[in-house]
Amino acid sequence: MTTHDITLTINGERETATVESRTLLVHALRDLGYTGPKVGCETGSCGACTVHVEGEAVKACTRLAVQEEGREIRTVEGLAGEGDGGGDVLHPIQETFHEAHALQCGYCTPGMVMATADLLENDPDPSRESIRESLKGNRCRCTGYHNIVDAVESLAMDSSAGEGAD
Amino acid sequence: MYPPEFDYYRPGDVSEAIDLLSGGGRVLSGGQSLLTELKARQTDPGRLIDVGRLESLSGIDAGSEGVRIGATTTYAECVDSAGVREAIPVFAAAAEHVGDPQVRNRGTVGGNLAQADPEGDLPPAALAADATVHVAGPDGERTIPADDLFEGENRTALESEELVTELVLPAHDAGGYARRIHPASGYAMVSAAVVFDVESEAVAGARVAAGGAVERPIRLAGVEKTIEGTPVADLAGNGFPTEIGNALDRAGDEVDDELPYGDRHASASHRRELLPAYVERAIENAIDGTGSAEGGESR
Ligand SMILES: Cc1cc2nc3c(=O)[nH]c(=O)nc-3n(C[C@H](O)[C@H](O)[C@H](O)COP(=O)(O)OP(=O)(O)OC[C@H]3O[C@@H](n4cnc5c(N)ncnc54)[C@H](O)[C@@H]3O)c2cc1C
Ligand code: FES
Ligand code: FES
Repeated sequence: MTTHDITLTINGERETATVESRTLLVHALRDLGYTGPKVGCETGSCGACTVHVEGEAVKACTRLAVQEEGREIRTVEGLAGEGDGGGDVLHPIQETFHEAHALQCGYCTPGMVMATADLLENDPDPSRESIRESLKGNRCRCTGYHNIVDAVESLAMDSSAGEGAD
Repeated sequence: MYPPEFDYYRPGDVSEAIDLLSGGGRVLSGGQSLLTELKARQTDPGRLIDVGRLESLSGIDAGSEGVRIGATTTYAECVDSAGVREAIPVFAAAAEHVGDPQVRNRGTVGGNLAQADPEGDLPPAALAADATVHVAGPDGERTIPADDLFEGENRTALESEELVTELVLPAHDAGGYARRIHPASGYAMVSAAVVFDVESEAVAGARVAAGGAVERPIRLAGVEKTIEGTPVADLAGNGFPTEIGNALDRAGDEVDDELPYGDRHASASHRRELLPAYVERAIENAIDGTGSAEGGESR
């Protein structure tokens, strides 16, 4: 069994870990305490494990941790900003998901939110059709998608949502 | 689900990669197919040789004559490349439909062709576009025309110690792609890719390939022959000339000598029935320059 000492920059923090060759990125992140990325299908289908690597949405169960060695990772934990009086302030995407009832059990939400962030960073004003197309890699077993698409659509009209909250 | 144990290597250049491969193991590129296979314990190669970060294998070099695409170039990079969209529209159109944005950010052109999934999007597009695959191995370099690359389900003319280094695709004037989305996997249950040049306002050098209904993408010689020389104006607008309609109706017959491909969601014969409609759409897309279309409901 070979192991590797790797460094990842996660939400701006430098983290080091010793991983097996076969350790999936999602497991490495969760072992480091970043439990935002969820483990759903583990076959690349559900998108619950979606994080950003160097600014691009990636399913963290479809990558070995060692493959992303040295890279910048952003998880859902990195989205919320710090409020004036301390404490977290939700990112506009999170706030809108909350307002629009775009989550029920919430298991898909970290992945949905990260996929949405990637979409809005590339295209601040997507059509309803392109929202559905862009969230194709993220499954939700609860909402029936409707409120999720509504939430993203209302964000699309608010062009500030693509930018970070920090 | 954990993959079986293996040793992981990240060679610094192509020759080191080939040396490592000669000692056994498999190439790892985007990992979007291979990691799933490992987790499902369908394969236990013992060693993975990661070429995903080899600079020399990545990137797009597009000109008016054609395009070179490095093996580790992602689908997203192809879709974002104006040069790819202009010079080889069929390839951009097919890449745009692969999986979902996350898969397109990591899956690679070389991995897709080497995987040779019967429902993959790039194999029929590469075949219609007359791509040449450049390969490096222990005996040096060689090229494989797309016409000779695909041998069956997950089977290609590549040797296990060979590496795809790049793809070279000549430019075409018109290219269109159409696919029926697989209701469960999102792959291409049926697909068609059409490429031609326009000479004296007529179709020239037509290449038409179909995927999904058979184990490997194949060219539809009958459809190619019938559209060759047809004035482009006759393919635009409502309805095709009768003999082209007849050739499309026979598209299913043209795949009869191949090993049929189907699953419990869609039998091979059902896919064969759908084929003419998707070839027709691919021709329409080539003509109107929209490049691609998808049929069926994903959810
Ligand atoms: C959710 C999901 C949906 C998908 N949907 C689609 C779809 O709709 N259409 C579609 O076409 N594909 C789809 N795919 C598959 C995806 O396109 C894969 O990226 C592709 O099949 C393999 O490319 P890769 O770079 O990820 O290769 P890997 O998974 O790393 O490797 C795949 C195979 O190719 C070999 N290989 C890789 N690179 C080379 C090389 N340079 N030289 C020689 N051999 C090499 C490997 O050894 C392995 O056998 C989907 C995947 C997922 C997870
Ligand atoms: S857990 Fe990664 S895609 Fe489902
Ligand atoms: S809210 Fe439960 S899976 Fe989406």
